[in-house]
Amino acid sequence: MSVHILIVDDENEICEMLSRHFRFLGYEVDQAESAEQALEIMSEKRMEVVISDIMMPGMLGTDLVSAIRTEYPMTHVIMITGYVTLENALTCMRRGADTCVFKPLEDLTELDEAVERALDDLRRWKDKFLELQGMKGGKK
Amino acid sequence: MSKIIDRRILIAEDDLTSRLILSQTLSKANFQIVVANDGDEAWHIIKQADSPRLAILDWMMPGFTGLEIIKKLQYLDSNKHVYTILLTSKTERQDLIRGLKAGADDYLVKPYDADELLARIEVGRRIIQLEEDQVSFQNELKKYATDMEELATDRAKQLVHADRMATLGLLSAGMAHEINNPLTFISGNRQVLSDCWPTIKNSLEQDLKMAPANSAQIGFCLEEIPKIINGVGTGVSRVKKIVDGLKSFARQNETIRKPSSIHDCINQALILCKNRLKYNVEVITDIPEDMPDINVDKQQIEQVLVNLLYNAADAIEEQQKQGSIEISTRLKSGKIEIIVEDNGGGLPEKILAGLFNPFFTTKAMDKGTGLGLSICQGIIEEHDGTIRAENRSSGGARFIVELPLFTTTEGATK
Ligand SMILES: Nc1ncnc2c1ncn2[C@@H]1O[C@H](COP(=O)(O)OP(=O)(O)OP(=O)(O)O)[C@@H](O)[C@H]1O
Ligand SMILES: [Mg+2]
Repeated sequence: MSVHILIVDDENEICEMLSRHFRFLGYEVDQAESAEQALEIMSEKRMEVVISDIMMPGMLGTDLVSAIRTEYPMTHVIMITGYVTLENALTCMRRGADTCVFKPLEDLTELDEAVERALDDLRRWKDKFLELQGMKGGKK
Repeated sequence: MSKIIDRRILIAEDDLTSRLILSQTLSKANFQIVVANDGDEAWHIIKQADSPRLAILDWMMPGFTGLEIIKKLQYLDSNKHVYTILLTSKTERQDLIRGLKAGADDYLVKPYDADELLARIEVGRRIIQLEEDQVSFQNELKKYATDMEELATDRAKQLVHADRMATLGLLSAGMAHEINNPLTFISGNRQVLSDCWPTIKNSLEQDLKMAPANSAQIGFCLEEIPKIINGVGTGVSRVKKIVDGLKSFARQNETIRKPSSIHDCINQALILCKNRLKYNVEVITDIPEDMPDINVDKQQIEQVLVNLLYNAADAIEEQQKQGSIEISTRLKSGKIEIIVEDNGGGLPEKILAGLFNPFFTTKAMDKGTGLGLSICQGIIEEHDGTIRAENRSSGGARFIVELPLFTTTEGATK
């Protein structure tokens, strides 16, 4: 399956950089410069994973997590933040983000692994669904 | 307190009989006599720092006359006043006035009555005592004034320092944040470039085979690009270290204090430093079991200890030897002292003054940012404690942290 990742950060250079990185790894990547724009894109395109900054002008990343959790429960969210506080991390966790990775992302592998884990999870569910479909088919 | 004046009296009289009578009278009245046989000797004694405060001077004697001595006294460069009683056989009113004008405090005409002499001496002593009281009062006042001034300067310095630290804290938080974003994409882009490199390298190698004409440039790229990628990486790590330092520098004001055991703090700090200390450093701890609790933010105190331990380890490493760090604690009048000492190179005199300043470092670029000790100082002062540094007599540095003990009244109000 082709995997879609959405990168949300008000710092365009970071969006570009992460997009480049994940495209290199073979993912399909979109970019948004705000949480609002992210929701707009998501209304038209299914995303497997969203990687979002927390501190952004307008809607905060933590609010984006809440919105995604209710509207797109299957989409995984990974937070990145330069504003490392316990409170930020707790909010991310409570609102259902997968994890929170701290900038400056000196090593991108932590982020890669988070994406991998999210995709594993999605794959497991997909297998379950396929299995269920197979069972239905068998009963016919 | 003003000092009580002693009972010494200088007698300057050349005539033996007169001198003896005078001495006897005074001795009987419990005075200690210092004798001068002539004017020169008298002057010599008076000039000395600890001379008697009261002098009975004969007018007529060999060497300086009593009158001359009294005149010279006016110019003696000393703020000590010698009370002088001029002895004279002259009865002329004119003479007496001359003596008093020259600066004599009192006079007696020979032959004199012993009781009158003693009475006049008492007058003199009263005046000397008054003078003495006034001098010591003035001194007290002066001392009080300087004390107040010192206090005010200290307080002002503290305030300026606190203010500077607070500003610096805000500034560093802002700076850390501002630097972090560009650092993120520099670092990320480097990694992307590094991931792309094998592909680029492959095609460059192909090109090299196909077009040997460009071999010099292609060779250069093959050689240098990996180094460029590495160089950027080194830069990123270095900047990240500074950013981390700035962040913890900024964070030191948010304390959460709880009664904690210093024992735990030290052990935790040692665990955190385990990797740094395992090769060339032996750690000796001397911590009494039953230390009372201190009311601190445990993590922050751990950070102080970690910074001190890292510095000690650095100092030992610089000496390229096996070293030891001693950590000890002791109680000292309502306070707890935590001492971290090492047998590294110690602290040269000229760096002592600036040691705790932010960004003061003697270490290489990629080793120290110079924030360690200023962070320590910030944390300890926030805890109403002090931190100071000194050299051990046996070589190496000693850092002494003093923290107030946790008192139960404090706990009850919490
Ligand atoms: N135990 C010690 N022995 C000798 N010199 C010391 C010791 N501790 C500190 N110093 C001196 O004090 C300087 C300042 O120390 P500080 O911890 O503030 O900064 P740093 O260690 O240079 O850098 P950082 O801690 O930010 O990595 C050091 O560079 C060193 O010269
Ligand atoms: Mg240090």
